[in-house]
Amino acid sequence: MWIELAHFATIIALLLALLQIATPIIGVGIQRPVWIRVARQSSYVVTLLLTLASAGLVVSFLNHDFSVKYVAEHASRSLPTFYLVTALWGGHEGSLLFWAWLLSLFTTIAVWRHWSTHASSIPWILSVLGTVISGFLILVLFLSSPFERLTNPPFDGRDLNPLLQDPGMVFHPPFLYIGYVGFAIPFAFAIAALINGRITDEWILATRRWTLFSWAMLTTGIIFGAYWAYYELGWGGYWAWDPVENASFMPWLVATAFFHSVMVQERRRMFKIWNLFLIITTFALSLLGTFLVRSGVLSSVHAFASDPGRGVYILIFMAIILLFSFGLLVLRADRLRTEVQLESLFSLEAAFLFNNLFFIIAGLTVLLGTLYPLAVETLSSAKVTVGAPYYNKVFVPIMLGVLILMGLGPLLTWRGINGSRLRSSLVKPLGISVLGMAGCYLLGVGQPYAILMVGLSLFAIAAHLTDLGRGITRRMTNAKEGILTATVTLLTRNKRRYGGFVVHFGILMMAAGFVGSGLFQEEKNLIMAPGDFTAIDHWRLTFEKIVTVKGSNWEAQEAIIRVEGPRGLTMTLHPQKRDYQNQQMPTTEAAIFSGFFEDLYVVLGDAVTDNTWAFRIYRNPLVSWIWGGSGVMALGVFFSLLQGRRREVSRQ
Amino acid sequence: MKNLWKVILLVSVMTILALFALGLENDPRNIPSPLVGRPASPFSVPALDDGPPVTLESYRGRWLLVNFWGSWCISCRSEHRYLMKLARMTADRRDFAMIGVDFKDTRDGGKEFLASLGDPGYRQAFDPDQKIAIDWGVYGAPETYLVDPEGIIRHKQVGPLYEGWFEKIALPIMEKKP
Amino acid sequence: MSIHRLFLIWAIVSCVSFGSMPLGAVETLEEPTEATVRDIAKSLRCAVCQNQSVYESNSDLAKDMLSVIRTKVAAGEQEGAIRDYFFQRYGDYIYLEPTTQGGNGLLWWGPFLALLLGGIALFSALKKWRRETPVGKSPSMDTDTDTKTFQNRLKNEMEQID
Repeated sequence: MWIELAHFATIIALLLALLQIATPIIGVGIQRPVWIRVARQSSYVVTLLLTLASAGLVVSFLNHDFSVKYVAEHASRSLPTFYLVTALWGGHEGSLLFWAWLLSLFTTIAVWRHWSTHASSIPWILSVLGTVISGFLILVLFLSSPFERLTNPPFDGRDLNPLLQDPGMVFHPPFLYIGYVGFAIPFAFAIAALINGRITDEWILATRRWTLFSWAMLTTGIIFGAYWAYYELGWGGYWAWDPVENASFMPWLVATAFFHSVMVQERRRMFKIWNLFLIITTFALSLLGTFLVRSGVLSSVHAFASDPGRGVYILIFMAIILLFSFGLLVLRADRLRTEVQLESLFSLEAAFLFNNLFFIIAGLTVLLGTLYPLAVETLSSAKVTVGAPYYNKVFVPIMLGVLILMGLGPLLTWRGINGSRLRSSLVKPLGISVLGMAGCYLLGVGQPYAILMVGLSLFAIAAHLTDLGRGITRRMTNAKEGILTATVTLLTRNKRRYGGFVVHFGILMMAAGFVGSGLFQEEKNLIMAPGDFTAIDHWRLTFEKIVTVKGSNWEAQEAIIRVEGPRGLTMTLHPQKRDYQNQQMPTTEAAIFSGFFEDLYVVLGDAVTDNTWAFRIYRNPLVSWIWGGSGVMALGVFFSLLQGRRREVSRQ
Repeated sequence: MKNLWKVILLVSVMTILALFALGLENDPRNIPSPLVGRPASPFSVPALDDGPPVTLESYRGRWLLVNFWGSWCISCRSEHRYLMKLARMTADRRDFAMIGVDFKDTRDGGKEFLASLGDPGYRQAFDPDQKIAIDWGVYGAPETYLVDPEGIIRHKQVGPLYEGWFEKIALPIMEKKP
Repeated sequence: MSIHRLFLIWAIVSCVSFGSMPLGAVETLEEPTEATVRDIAKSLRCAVCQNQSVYESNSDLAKDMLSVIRTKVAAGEQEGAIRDYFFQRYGDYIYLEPTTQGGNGLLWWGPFLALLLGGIALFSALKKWRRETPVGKSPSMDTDTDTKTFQNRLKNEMEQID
């Protein structure tokens, strides 16, 4: 019953979405705003209908309605209620519906917020977003329907993939999708600007917070994915350079380039075409991400469900969107061309352009690495693998360039800084950086990469702090304020800039985490019997016994491991090996102690004999800095977002 | 020169789209074997039925079909009927023989499989920790190799054999090289 | 915290705690060959998995490949020879790190070449723009904005920034 309702709602939603494409175009053509109003109302109703559709699917899960194929394949009677709800995006079909629902929701918000302020863009925004929604709804309705019924419903479902039965998996896809979908709004604004051909910077201002918000969500989604991989997959790492991970990382890189270079447009009105290109590319890569995951064209650990049949449709859909938007950009480029004025090579403008160069090349590298196996297979029918070692050797050095630029940023100004001033402001950060590197070397750090990273990070931190200090002292002398008031006013007067600083600090923290865990990981692979003990660095682990533990839909072997650490720290770790009902492969649940400086990560392997078990023990330095750093980043973004809101309140 | 970027942009977008269009036809599971044209790795292992060891060398001088399977493998069930038929069909050919390698399996599992689906009659090697399978570059089951009388691998079939496979694939290879 | 200090702490902790252990308990050590096994296994792709290494994968094939590697290392075979053994059976596909031969050059040098060319192009464009920008004249704001309110808003915004 519910599922038919959901199905019906989706069909109506598709019809209305098609209406939403057509009416604004007609409305603009015959100069009758009422037609555009129709599109607005239908976009609202689409949201309601898709909300109903998603709710219908969720209710079917909650009712254990296994006559629905999607429910039967992604849930079981013993699946906890929490995962019954999140199973909505646990599979291919449901996650597409979820995607469409998010997009409709965002469309509604965008139309509602910008209706009166961006009257000339709204018709095109409605049309563009209607197209994207229709594209997804056609996929949902005709090619991968979550509403299908089974003629012989099973008594119990096949259960959700155990790897997805984890809190991390609850947050990873929604955040990623919110990020992907969120970029549709700036994309639609950009297309509207291109169609209108009126060369305004309006779309930049209107979409700045959309972009920042989507970027933050995408970042969070990626981090949750890494966190999930670290906690759930049990191989001691968090990022495998898997094609699907890459798919989410590419739009992130280009979006990052975008909101650096967009500042140049805001301040100097330059590089308009470039910014349009970047935002279109960001959204195109978001679509590509969906395509890569859903079409089965690339194989990956994530491709739980893939079907080349759908691939053809997604490809056509993507081709239409890409060729239309890039074609439009090419056609309009000459009209939008602006004169570039550049006073100095040592200016923020120039630095941002180099930042863009590095981010774009980084993005291209990931794209190349991801598509290369496909290209080789298609053109020569051989097979190659491009795995993590490649990216570590090629991608990472490119990011070092980004770190250098990050450090230079705060030292430069718009329109340029003269050489002697630049030299004098370089002294302190450079000195600190060199001292830091020498210190590292003397303390016995042998890895050149690590020393270099320490140097670059210190340089960047010192540069940011120098700038902050300079701002505070300027306020103290000019406005005669105390140090605290000066700091607070400085930060709150320019939330966007200092929010950016905070984001940079977060990135540096994460970089420390990457270096620590990437270069200084220690691991052991051994066989122990109850009563045996082993040591890894300053940790001492005693394997006490194996017990059996039961969950609602699984049974696990659990090792009890007593750990004695430095400074009298003791604890017990419980790594498990779980067998889920209805699933063949057992899953490993790593036991992790997360400390400030290092994680202890224990994985229980197979039983070797009746009484001995294999273990993998990792000591992962600084991993928690990655998660902490991402938190700092989130704070920075939130702080930046505050700026817009206050201005709007004051305007009303 | 001024419009060069436009060309580059559109060409690269279309290249990527074209790549996907072509790539959709690739089967991610279909991986070419570099072993074709190379000597097959010899083995001599216990048989599934507790008989004398199965030795690759002893088939020298004849074309040999080596079929990797396991009772855990679902497509092996669908392939089995054809294997039975092929064994019957080629029983009187002096230049052709077949063997099976039951890998990553339990002895009981393998025997039960043959008991319930029928025993095609040729020898079955037993490879519980897939040593032979790895040595032969096997990814999964079923996979089938065609080895020539000199012990050189001439063809590899990934996935189940199908009705008419022998005439369509194997015979032309065998006739080309008498 | 330096590696040396960590080591010192570790040494003290282990002396103290090991001293109090009942007689006969011996620390379980990793097999000395395991580091080599790990190196090899991490460089090979688990053939049935998707982009996971033999070492990290949980699949049966990966586990058996790992045990083949272990046997070969224990038998004293060289790292290169073992890698080659898998390469001959599974092809390029088995190496997680693509080789540098042939067309793979694009993969390895492409990004750096693009960075170099992009850098040169960008630098010369910057110099060209720099030459074309009149010195001293304060750059005019473009007036390509469509409404008055928008301009005010923009101005407002710019004051907020910096």
